[in-house]
Amino acid sequence: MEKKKFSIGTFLLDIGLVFIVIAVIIIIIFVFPDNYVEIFAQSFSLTLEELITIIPIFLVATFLAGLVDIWVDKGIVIRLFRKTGLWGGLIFITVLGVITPGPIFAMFPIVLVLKRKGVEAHFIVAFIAGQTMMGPMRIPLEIYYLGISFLIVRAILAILMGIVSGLITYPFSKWLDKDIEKHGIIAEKKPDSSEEEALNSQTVPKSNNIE
Amino acid sequence: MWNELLPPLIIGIIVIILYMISLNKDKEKTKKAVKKSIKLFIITLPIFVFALILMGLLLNDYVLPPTWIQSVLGPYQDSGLQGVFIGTMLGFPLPGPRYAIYPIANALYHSGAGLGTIGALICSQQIIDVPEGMFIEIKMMGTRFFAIRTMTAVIVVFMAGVIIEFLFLPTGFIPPNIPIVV
Repeated sequence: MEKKKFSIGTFLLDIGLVFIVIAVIIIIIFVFPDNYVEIFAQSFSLTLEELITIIPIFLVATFLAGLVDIWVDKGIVIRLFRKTGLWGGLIFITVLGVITPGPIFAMFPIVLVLKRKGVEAHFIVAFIAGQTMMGPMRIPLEIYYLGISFLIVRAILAILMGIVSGLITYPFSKWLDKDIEKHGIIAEKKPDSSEEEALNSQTVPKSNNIE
Repeated sequence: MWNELLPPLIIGIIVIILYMISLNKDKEKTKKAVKKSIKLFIITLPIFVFALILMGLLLNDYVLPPTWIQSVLGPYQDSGLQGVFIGTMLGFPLPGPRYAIYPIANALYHSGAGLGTIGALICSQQIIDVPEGMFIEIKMMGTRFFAIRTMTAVIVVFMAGVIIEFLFLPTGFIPPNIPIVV
């Protein structure tokens, strides 16, 4: 088994968040000496409520991601995106993002698997833009607070924004792909022998080589 | 809360059915899928929990009350493109779940903000989750990805705000007036 590569960025990120939380707690105690107990009580209940709501979604998303990772063939995904081209691919993946429910936290396991399957960075950015901008669960709320015309305009804009995001990211795509493979969580997962064999036997080149 | 738990429950049932089909087809592959899923879940869980604790610490009645944005946006809210730009920039550090922005946006509109400004605010709050989502994004995709995504987000959100501002201007569209509940 390959030894996990040490990355200062990842290390700082892991430790950094803990330090930020501790720093925020200390600042709150100093800035709100009379109310900090109430602040912590409110924070605790909000965090707990969010954890109870988001963890099941996150768990479901990771299990779905695991299944997709095992069953969906990388070659098929690459071929599909090569067939649709840049514009077709961007429209397809943005619409896919718009119809995908769930908070952004839960989306990252799916995004990660899309990346592992050879989907290039500009398509991933378009997917996230579409997914975050509009969601099936938020439609009733948006109509209630802002009206149906606003929702329709924003839905059209969500697709446009996804496509434009993808187009802006396109020139940086290879540079990003390299970084994701080097520093992202993806680097921690080395394909096992059966996966490697399957990839080697495919006639389709890896995503990096696709124009 | 039960309403929010319903969608993962439905998708969860679908995922269980998919796993059963997978198990029926290939036992070894399914085992591998479960192992990979658990590993991914365990790697991400600590950062996920701390990110939510940070969100809880920031989003309360004292540190960042739901109405703080109103006081910050106040002087710029009716200033056209400048308002759209400020709306774009203020949405990014606005913590909390994505649905939480709608009542705030509604209240902002009825206190004088332009439609483009609230449109940009909604889009920017949803497209990037600073600070809580940021950590998970960097952990999973790397710093470069987050930097480029932030850059593209600023551009597209500002564009969206401008389009909303000018599209609705001649129509005289007014969103419903719903009082904010804090």
